[in-house]
Amino acid sequence: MRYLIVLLFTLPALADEPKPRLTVQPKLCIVDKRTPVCDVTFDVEWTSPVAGDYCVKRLDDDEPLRCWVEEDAGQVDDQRPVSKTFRYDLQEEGETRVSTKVEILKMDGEDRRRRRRTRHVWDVL
Amino acid sequence: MFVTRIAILIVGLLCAYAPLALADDTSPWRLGIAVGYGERSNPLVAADDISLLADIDLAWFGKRFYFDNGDVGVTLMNNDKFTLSLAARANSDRVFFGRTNSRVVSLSPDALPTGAPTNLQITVPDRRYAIEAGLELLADGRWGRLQASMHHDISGTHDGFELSADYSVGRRFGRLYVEPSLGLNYKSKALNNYYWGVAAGEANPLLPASVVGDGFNVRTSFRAGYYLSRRMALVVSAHIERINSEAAASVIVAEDTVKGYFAGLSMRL
Repeated sequence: MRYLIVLLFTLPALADEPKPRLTVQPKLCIVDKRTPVCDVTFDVEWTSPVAGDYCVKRLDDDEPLRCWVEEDAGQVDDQRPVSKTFRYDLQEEGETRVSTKVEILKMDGEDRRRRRRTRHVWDVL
Repeated sequence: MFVTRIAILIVGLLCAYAPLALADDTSPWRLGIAVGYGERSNPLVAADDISLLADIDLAWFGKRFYFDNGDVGVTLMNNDKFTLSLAARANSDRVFFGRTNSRVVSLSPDALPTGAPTNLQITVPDRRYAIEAGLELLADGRWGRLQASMHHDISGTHDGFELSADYSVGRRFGRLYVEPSLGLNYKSKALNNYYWGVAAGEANPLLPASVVGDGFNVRTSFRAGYYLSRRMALVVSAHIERINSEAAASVIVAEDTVKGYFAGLSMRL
């Protein structure tokens, strides 16, 4: 009975365990044939309710952008040209705790027929 | 009502954007909807403007064949420089004739033959949709986009043809993408006369028979979108087209320009 009471008090606490947060600005970038790559500085910020050893890593990279030791928040700027949707991961001891995607919107796709203007009354899309 | 419409347009312009197409080539389908408010003026006499609350975009693009909002085509050539297709469509001039009505006009007896009725109705003659087929060339690059086409009536409706060319160029400003464009249309005499002329059998004292020659329409448009995500954007679109002088001089035409605008939220499904 004593264990059951402990479990009843522990479970909600486990379920509500706050997770780290990872925010990236900008989260959307537009490219076209005139500007085929998005060459901006991404502002990556994270916070965690528990201090720990964290790293911010881009999914396609072998090495993390930056790591922190016994910290509960951090920020790093990442400047690089990108042309495909990608994501940043916040990792703790090599394990991804939270991810945030940066979307690349291509205004000129491979199929130029998708960009044709119709004789549609409005053709606003 | 007018103030409301202007307010909607201004909000759309401030929020802004739109080009047009949340491009994603991974699926052959393109399905989207824009909700908002827009209007397109109707140059015909005794006709209503065209209102728009929602615009649905439905298209399918295969390797050779495509369907794009009523247009169908088969691609003959496709390379890094251009895409050439055989395309078919319904004529766009007909859209104005679906919003016509009758208007009673009182004339002075002095202006009419003795005994003729003094109250006459102006009724714009009906016109049919023509199915037109031809070649369509698409080219693009850092310099912008070009769309050129030539279409001939294949339905026996007007037996005329139309040549057109559109140039547009896009610019991005962060999440804002703007795309102005310029266009030119040549309409043959047969096409112009069918839609904008008045045949002898349709004539009355208010609408005398008239023959319309060929001519060029010139148009410009501006589209802008502020992208909230890859699939959602606030959009605004404005369009103005100067009708060729031959058609504009027709007795069934009241205005020599067609103006349109739309502002709203665009979603790509």
